[in-house]
Amino acid sequence: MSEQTRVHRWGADLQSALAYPITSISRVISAILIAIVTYVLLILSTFPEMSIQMLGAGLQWFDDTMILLTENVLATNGWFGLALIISYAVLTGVAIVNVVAQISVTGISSLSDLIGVLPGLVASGCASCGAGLLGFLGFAGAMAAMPFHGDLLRVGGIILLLTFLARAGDPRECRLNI
Amino acid sequence: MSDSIDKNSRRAFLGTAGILITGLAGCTSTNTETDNKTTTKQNTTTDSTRATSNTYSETTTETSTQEDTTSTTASKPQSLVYASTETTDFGINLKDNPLMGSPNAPVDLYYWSDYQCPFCNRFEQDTFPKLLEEYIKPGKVRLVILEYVTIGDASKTAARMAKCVWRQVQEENPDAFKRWHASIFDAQKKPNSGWAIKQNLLKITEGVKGVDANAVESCLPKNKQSLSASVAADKQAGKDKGVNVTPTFIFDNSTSNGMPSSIQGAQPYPRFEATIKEVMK
Repeated sequence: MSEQTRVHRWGADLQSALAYPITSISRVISAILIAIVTYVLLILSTFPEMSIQMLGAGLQWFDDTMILLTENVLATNGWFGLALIISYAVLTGVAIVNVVAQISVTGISSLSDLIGVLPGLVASGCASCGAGLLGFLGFAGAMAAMPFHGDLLRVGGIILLLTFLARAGDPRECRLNI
Repeated sequence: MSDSIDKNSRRAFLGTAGILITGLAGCTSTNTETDNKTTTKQNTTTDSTRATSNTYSETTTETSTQEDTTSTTASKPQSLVYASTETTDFGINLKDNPLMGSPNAPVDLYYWSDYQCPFCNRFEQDTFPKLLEEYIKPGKVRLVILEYVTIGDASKTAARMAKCVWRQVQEENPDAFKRWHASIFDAQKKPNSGWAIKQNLLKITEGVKGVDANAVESCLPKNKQSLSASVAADKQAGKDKGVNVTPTFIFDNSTSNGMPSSIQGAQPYPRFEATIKEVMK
């Protein structure tokens, strides 16, 4: 397979993977819900100490916590940083819907695909929210010390997720490499 | 009124952010609350606070009419901002740190910050003015300002400059430090974007009444070692108390047997109020 064909195939597979969740209403809703949950977790993890204190004081502080931490991401990382977090949340929604579809189509026997999915999700999740967790673990200033306040890590996480999605393609199709 | 508008606009912001996740883009949020912490006048001092702090009640009357004419000498009323060489019951050495509020306040509030930290700025703009009016000026809480440099080299520069400013003004015009501190936070931009380099900070300093920018400029190289040591001592004191992020606030009531409480991040004013009430018990 030539390089050009491979790139073309990669692009087509990625497109198929990204398009799958919008093939039915239930998939769209699932992807959106997963994306929202992921966004909430990522935002809360940008300042875990504060999140724990605020939510520990009562769930009535949930919206304030989300707003304050979102504003803090904007003040620290700008719109680009916030866009990265949103992108990661959306991609996670797509990835999880696709994984569920893949399992339902090919069964749990498709272990090689699962092995491909899990590290992708974990690695990208860690890359995206790990900066905040580092601070929680006592590495003060970890975020500031990271390139572009952790944005580079987030970009790395998103690339990992896109790579996984392109590798898997449309979860309803078996891929044959010839 | 402005709080409710602010709250509503924040909720609108959150809703828009939710829509963003689904693939749309574009929303914004602004902090419209003005900075009044350097110009707010003292309005009331309750009888109960007079009872706890006679010296300070004279002072607050003074600061309400002429904030800049205060000093730390015994013959003059106590300024809102002042110096001390004591080591508190909580174990924090106050030498080289600005204090704000009554020396007899039942609660000490230790505030570790970084001039480049956006959440510190959020506290300065949103929560501090209310805290000042409701607890610091009435003599219920004494604020201790400590440096906790984490964000970058410019943060170190700002922290050292803060120490220079404090050393310069603490004897004759301690309230000038409050103005300088507020001016730096007002000028804050994105962390490590260059806004906190020495020359820009000096330029801001030039505009602060009661602070000699030239003296601050010469103070920085002349006292580099002691300034660094003082900034490092603040950070170490924080680390010893479990601080690892900015802003961190620790509330300690030396007159009770209760444990100190802490707040991390720019939490809303009611969270501060609830914590102070808890610590005061």
